[in-house]
Amino acid sequence: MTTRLFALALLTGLGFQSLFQPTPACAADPAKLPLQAQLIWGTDSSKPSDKTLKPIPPDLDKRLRRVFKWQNYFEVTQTNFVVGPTQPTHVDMSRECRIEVAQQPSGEVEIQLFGKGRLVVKKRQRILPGEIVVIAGDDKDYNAWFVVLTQQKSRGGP
Amino acid sequence: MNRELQEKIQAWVDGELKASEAHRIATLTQSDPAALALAENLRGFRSLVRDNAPEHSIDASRDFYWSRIREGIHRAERATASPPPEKGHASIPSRVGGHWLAWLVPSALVATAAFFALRPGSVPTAETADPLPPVLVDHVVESPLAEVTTLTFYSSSDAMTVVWVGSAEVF
Repeated sequence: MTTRLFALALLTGLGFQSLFQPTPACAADPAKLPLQAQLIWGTDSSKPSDKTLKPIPPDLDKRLRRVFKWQNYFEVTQTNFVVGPTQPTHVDMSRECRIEVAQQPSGEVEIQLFGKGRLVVKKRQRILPGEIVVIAGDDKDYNAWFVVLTQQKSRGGP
Repeated sequence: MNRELQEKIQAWVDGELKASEAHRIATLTQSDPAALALAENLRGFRSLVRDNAPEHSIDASRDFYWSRIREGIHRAERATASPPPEKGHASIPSRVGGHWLAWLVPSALVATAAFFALRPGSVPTAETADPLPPVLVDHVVESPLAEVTTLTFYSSSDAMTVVWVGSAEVF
């Protein structure tokens, strides 16, 4: 009898605790995923004076240098956006380059990259905190372009 | 270009074809722009991976390294195999004489685990969760353009998935 009373008290306590537990921040709107997209230009040359390019964050610079061969990486554009489950989000990265990102029911995102109006590549995967997805390719004069997608560090939205 | 020809070109780039076959593919790449583009892309990927893949060296001989792994597996197996109970020794609850104690100990463990698991702040959020390994479910990469080639790889040390797109005008 004592055992049953103890078990009952334990279950009741746990039930009350879960009722009064505050909702985690990420559960406020679990359907929406805040992402950041950067268009980056990689080159072995120095920064062109006629372009409004920014240096990329040191952490990203270090990660890209460890994987790719180019000496310098410059940010062309950076956009914060939110992906919801209902329709894809369109993000213009430059005049020629845009992406469409759609959230899948499985929790993955589908990234579509368009260049000069044509769908170039479609990639589907989960983007977890701290992970980055890089879609990249050669550009003329031995340069390269990189579209970098990551979860936003602050969850406050764009 | 069919898949068989693509594989032949890949084998040619990797130097895996016999001389006669290699000559045939080399001739083909001179007359077929698509074959030439594929071969050049594959060469580009090859040099990209070869020139940039990090090298990891191990400060031990190959045999010693594998013997340590083998020993670790055996140690783990021994640890998981529980020893049989010794004869003549009764279990703790029966020694104490309490059917009650047999319930109390697991209940206390459950309560302790539940307390730490469910207390506010212990539920992992996007900010508190450790970076997880990538979940490359399906790992689907598609391109509708025939001239575009893709190469996907994952750098675990940099937590980075890379899709390298060849022959694409994007920027």
